[in-house]
Amino acid sequence: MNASVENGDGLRLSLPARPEFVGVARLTLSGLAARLGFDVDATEDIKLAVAEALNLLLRPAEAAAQIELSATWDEAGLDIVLGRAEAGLPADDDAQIAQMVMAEFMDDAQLANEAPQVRLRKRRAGH
Amino acid sequence: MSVHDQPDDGATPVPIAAEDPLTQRFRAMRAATDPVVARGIRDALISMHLPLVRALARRFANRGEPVEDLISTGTLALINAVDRFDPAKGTKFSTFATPTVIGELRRYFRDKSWAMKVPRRMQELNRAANTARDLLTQRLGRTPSYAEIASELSVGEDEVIEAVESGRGYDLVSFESLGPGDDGAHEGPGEEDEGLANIVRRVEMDQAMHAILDIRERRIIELYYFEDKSQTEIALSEQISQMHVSRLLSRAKAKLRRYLQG
Repeated sequence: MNASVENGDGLRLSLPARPEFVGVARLTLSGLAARLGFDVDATEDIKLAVAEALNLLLRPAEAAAQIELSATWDEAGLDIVLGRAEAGLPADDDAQIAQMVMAEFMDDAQLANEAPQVRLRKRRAGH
Repeated sequence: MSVHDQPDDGATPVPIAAEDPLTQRFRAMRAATDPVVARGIRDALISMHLPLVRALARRFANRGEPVEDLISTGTLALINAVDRFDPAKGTKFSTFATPTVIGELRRYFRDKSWAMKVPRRMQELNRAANTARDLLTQRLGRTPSYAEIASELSVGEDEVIEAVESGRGYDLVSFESLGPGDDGAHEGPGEEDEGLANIVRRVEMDQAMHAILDIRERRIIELYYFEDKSQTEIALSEQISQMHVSRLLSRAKAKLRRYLQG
């Protein structure tokens, strides 16, 4: 069943910055995307981009860090912001590939190094 | 910065002195008059970018297709990218090749109607997970973890969780809608269960089947309703008559009806 669109609706998740929690975020986002009516292809795209963003944010190996994930949505699409306060984003070749992958799978993929944050947007079909 | 904000206007060739070794190789390949030399550079360029293909193919590895096939598909796209890349445009080769390889991998799944098969795959995995849970419960003497079920089925733990969750989310699913097409083998005493069809959730059906049916009844129900086998095909594989299959189906459905209607 699709979730109705209400102003101010959103989802927040605070995850330990460790690889074993990437799957938790993927599953959460796939459940959300399905309820928002995204089709299988788009849901897989979202999961893949979120995993990519998390892998980027997990690269700096500080202990006891948290990754904050928030998702908001409206009639036009789904916005996901992932951030980690304690460390910057890597800037090597692997990171560049990750950026390109996210850009391929989402309608918009922005990295904000000052936060640091990854911002992703997936439009609904027809928007 | 958006990832796609790469210089791509092709207006200003980068001076040779400022070029990275990779761009120089592409220029050398284009400039080579000896086809053997050009071929050698081309092969080297392809080889050095195979790790990129493998890295991209791995991102699609949990979709049920062999990773080797994904790498082959990606490699063909890489070769195409090497042949089409124009170093004069000033774009990095990886920036040019990555969308090409990803595009080809996505086309591979589209050609296989992957998205259409996902619900079916989830249903199958949901059933397999239920069966594995029963087997492991007997074997271990306790309820298994998702990791143990995933290991038993040789799939990822997240896939199992997702399949089980998707099973919970099934809307009212018609028992008959999961059945085979009209192959003329449906006649018989087991066709009076329309009322049952609309009240049963698939997950409840799985639970009921394990609770109330013996092994043979369960197998016949699974073959008939979930694997699209006709009564005739089941009769052949079980080495019994079609009439006997029909009677077993009828008896199993009657048991399920009694169980599910309390």
